[in-house]
Amino acid sequence: MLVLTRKLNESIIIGDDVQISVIEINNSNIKLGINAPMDTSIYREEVFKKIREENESSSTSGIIDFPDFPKTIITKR
Amino acid sequence: MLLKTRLFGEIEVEEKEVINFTKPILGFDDCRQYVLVEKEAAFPVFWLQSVDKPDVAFPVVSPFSVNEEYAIKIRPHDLSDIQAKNTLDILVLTILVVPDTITSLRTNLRAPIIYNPVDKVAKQLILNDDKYPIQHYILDQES
Repeated sequence: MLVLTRKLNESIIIGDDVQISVIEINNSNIKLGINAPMDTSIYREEVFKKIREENESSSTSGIIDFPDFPKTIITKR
Repeated sequence: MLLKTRLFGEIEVEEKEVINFTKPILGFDDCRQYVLVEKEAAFPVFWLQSVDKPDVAFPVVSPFSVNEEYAIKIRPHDLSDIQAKNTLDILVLTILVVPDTITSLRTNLRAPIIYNPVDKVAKQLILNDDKYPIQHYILDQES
């Protein structure tokens, strides 16, 4: 892994069009600003991991075919 | 073609029914092709059955059937990724998790699948805002 040290208000540039700046440093929190093209996907890693876990849990689901299920799923909000 | 599946046994599928994912369902890089399987008794649940792996099948549902006000912003490049010109051309599905404890039945409203049924192309989105949860419980937890 490439490791760089940055101070407040300094940035790094990735590729031609992604810029990540240190906006605020507060105890253990660092606020980052990201400039990137609209079609670049940016997510918090934990969201990414959680979705992958949910997908994995779903992929092994059994068949639901007890007759009450459809009604329940339609009426409940 | 004949497709082997964990849930449905062998099913006959026409080539033209195969759905191509332009980006894999997160965590399933090896599975790019699916078919949408319908089972009458289970409506409104459908299954995205992997063509590549018999074991992999995702139960999916229309998110509007669990939350009538569900509304998402789809960016132009997401539409063009699935060869759709506007949002009227696409269907939205969300992945269900069916755990052993049925009261924990839930669907992932944060990462919907957008699907172009005409050209049979789809992808899973990850919404940027956290308005909708990854685990949306469908049934009352007390019951």
